[in-house]
Amino acid sequence: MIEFFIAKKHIIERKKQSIISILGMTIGIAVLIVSIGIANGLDKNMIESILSITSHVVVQDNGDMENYRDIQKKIESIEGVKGVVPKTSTQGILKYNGVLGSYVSGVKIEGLDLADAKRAMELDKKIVQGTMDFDNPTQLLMGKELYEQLGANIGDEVSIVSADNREIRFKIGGVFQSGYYEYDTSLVMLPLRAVQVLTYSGDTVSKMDVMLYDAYKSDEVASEINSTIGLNTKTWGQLNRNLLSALSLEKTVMIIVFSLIVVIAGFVVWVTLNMLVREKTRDIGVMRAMGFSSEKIMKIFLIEGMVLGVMGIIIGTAVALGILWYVKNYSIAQLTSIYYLTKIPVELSLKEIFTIIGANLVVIFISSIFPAYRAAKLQPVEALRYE
Amino acid sequence: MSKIVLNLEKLNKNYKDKKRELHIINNLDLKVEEGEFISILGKSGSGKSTLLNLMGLLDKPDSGKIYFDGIEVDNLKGSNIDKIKNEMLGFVFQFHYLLPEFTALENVMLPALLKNFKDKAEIKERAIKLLEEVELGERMGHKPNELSGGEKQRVAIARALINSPKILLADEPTGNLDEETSEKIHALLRRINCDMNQSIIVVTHSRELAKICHKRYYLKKGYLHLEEEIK
Repeated sequence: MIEFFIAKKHIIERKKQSIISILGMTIGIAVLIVSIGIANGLDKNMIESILSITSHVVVQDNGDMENYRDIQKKIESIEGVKGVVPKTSTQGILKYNGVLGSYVSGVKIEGLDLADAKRAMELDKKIVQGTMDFDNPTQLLMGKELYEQLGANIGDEVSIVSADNREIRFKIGGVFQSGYYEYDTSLVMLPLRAVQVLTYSGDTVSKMDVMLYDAYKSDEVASEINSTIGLNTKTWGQLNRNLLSALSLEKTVMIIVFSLIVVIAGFVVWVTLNMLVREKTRDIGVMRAMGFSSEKIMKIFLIEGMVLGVMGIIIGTAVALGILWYVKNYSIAQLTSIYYLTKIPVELSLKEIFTIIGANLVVIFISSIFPAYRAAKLQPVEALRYE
Repeated sequence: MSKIVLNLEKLNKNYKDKKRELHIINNLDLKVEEGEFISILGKSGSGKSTLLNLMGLLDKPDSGKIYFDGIEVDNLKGSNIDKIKNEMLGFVFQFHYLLPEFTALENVMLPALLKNFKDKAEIKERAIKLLEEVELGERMGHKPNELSGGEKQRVAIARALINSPKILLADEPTGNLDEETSEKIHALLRRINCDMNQSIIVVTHSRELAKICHKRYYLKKGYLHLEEEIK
């Protein structure tokens, strides 16, 4: 195809401008893919951390639930339910006297049956120090960050003071790491019976945590619990609505901001082609005199813009995937803040890659079509007179 | 009588100034026979280049008819006009206008590649032959900026001839060259006309070039006056 032959010549002979255009597009698409890949990974990591330690569906009655063992059995018979953990949650104060001095801190207290928690939440897999002793009602589990703040050792005694001003001493039996910083700094897990004593609640629970095999089927299971057992339910999506909305908004804003880089890269292609059309005005006139149609002239410049852009897209995508691969496998980030990570998680679907590439192709096409159209509309006589 | 390859009938072209309308070409008639070598002389601004642009289908007349090989151009669609420009016309400009990214050989090949891109090997062979005919066989791999003015103009002539056009149109082909180089170009055009029976219309200020033509016209006030005809 002669249009490609001429476009190729223009690209090769104008190396500097071509490289700048390709580089612009490469940077734009690489930044976009890398940032989306990492943002997705962080979002997924955070959601998975939350889902691993919090319930997928919370079941509550209007007050405390007395016949919670019956309800537990009924819910566990529903398809898709992995396990049910009867739970009483409250807040209290943790006191510790260690070698570094005394430590007092507000904590979230969760009283649960550890055997249920092991089955439903796989809590045993989150224990990083010590053990889960099912039979010892005077032992507690605490988050890793809290444990490190205390400077305590396994087996040390701590006091838990409830809101009802009852104080009970516990031994630190184990340390868990949920992967979610907020939980690991402020959560202690106690045997259910101990919390019932702390809160004067008798043999009742305040809620039931339902864990599912597939957390994304929480809406179906919640509505079934609601219709068959008649209890109030809240899914993890409803419980974390603000967080999920914030993550979604953050991602949208990030995509918009980084898309500007792609728009700028498209602008570079537009400027390069416009300059080329201006420089080649007389050549366009000569080609028209040779018999090149205006469509063929348009194709030459359109091909040139698309080739530059597509090369930028290919290189940019390859660079981005390389960076993401490296970050996922080798990079150890010292992130211990909100994401509480040792490695940067990466999550990128083929659909997202193709959407980014498609959007970039549209940007390049728009950037190329106007200069190409301008070239095509040049009148041969005027083009030949161009100085 | 030889075949008429170009026929202009009552051609008019006007340009509108702020104050008045300028009649550049006035009811102009011209017939060009196959193998004819015609020169058109005239003062600067007399409309010589405008006339050549009309013949080369680079511009449209306000009225009148243009026939190429008996085909009326007015009745043709844009794509057919482009085809005529490519296959029946060859254009040589005053300032060579070679495409700077391409070598001499590629510049010569370009109009033929436009006609048929697939026959690249055959086109290349033809282009090499043409370049050898204009004595540039050794320079075919050079780009325009590596060639002298005369060499560039010879490449431009070879490019105009690659598709064996019915008419070669030349706009001041030696206007930018020194005397010695101009004489070589004149000789080349004459040789092309004689050896290939190529019809040539040349717009020029050069009396030397006009002297070697079969017919010499003078364009004045939009009319063509036949100054001399050498049988």
